[in-house]
Amino acid sequence: MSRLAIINYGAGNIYALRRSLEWAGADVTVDPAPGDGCAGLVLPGVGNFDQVMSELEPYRKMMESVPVLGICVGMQAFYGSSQEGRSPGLGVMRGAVVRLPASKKSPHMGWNTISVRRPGRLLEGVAGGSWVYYTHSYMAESDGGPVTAVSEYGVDVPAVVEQGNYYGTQFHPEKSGAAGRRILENFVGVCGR
Amino acid sequence: MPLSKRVIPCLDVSGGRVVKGTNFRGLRDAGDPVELASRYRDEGADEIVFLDITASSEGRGTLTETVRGIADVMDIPFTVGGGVRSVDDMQMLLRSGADKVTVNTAAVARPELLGEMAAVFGRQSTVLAIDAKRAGNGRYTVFVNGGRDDTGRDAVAWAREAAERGIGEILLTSIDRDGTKDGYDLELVRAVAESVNVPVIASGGCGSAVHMADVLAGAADAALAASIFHYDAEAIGAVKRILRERGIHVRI
Repeated sequence: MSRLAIINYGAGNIYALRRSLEWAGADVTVDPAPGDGCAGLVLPGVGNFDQVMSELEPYRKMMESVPVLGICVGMQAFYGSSQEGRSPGLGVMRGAVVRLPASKKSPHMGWNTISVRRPGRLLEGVAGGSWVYYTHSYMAESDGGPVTAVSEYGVDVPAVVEQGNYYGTQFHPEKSGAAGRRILENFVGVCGR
Repeated sequence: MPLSKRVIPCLDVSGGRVVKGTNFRGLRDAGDPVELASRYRDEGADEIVFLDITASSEGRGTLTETVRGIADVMDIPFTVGGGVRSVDDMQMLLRSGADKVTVNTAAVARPELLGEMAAVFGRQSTVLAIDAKRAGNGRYTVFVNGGRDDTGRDAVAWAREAAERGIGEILLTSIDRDGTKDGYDLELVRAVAESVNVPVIASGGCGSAVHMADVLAGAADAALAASIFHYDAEAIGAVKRILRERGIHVRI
């Protein structure tokens, strides 16, 4: 069984994420000691950008060697900067995190469908048009390289990204029913290889 | 296709039980919130709202157990509200597994609370509940303490202020329509939803799928209903098919 670690930087709900990863076949620990052995790291989608960056600091080394799944703001941490905060991001993906279009309500909250741009590990067995649950006010603005799927919200919002050992979803897979469960199973599968 | 409109069933809970309006056939325990939540999820609910109608502090302990039980089975979002007075109350519910928490009376008493909640837990978890009643001349005022006390505060102005303070969503209930099954108060929903840049859940008065279509065709981002989903009156899937026939973009 893959041993995954959730980095719990926020004050919000990670209970559902933990439970969903367990359903997906993982053995889950929370807040691992940096240097602890684990097969994968999960950055949950609660908290704000600066808070996430400061809490990730001790795990930078770990993140270089195991698969990392970033959810919502956890995925936004992969970029170089965010309009939500002042801290630099991890910068492993090219681009920046910006506010949603001013013409749209914010947060982008509720169920939207994904359009698949290219095949990827997370999306194996997940059809284009699958419904996923979003709740976010900022989005990645990128050159498309790592983007495997988008959702339409005034603009094409990067929905799923993959690059090297970094995997991300802007939506919340732990709240996205069957499609979300498959995505988490796929990530657990990546960690088990 | 863009973001869908949401259909949200609401359950009143107290002491670990659903306390009114539920009578599904084929359930061994008609009052078990976990069983009902699972049923609604399987029928296609986009979210579920649980309102705690317990007043006592002993009841709050039971509430966190109920929330934990629901979180153990839910792979869609759910919101918990009722009696939330502080950042600590909110933390207790989120830690137990709720995705969003609504606050009403305590926020009217001290509006700074909204900003504090959003700063600690994020906008996406912070929902303002507004109970509004017609005051004449197209005005609506905000009521608190379960709809008993009129604050005299203008509902649209309060919604705007709360949005500026950082909440992520408004659950807007018409006291005039609540329980009537006469349809949502479309004017109230329009007045609030067009004044703020956050999603608005319309509540109060839903008696049929057509009522839901009427409010979702307008400015509402989501529609909440209780009684039409109870007693097997309408299954969520059937309601959503009617919404889709009427041109509402829903998740099916």
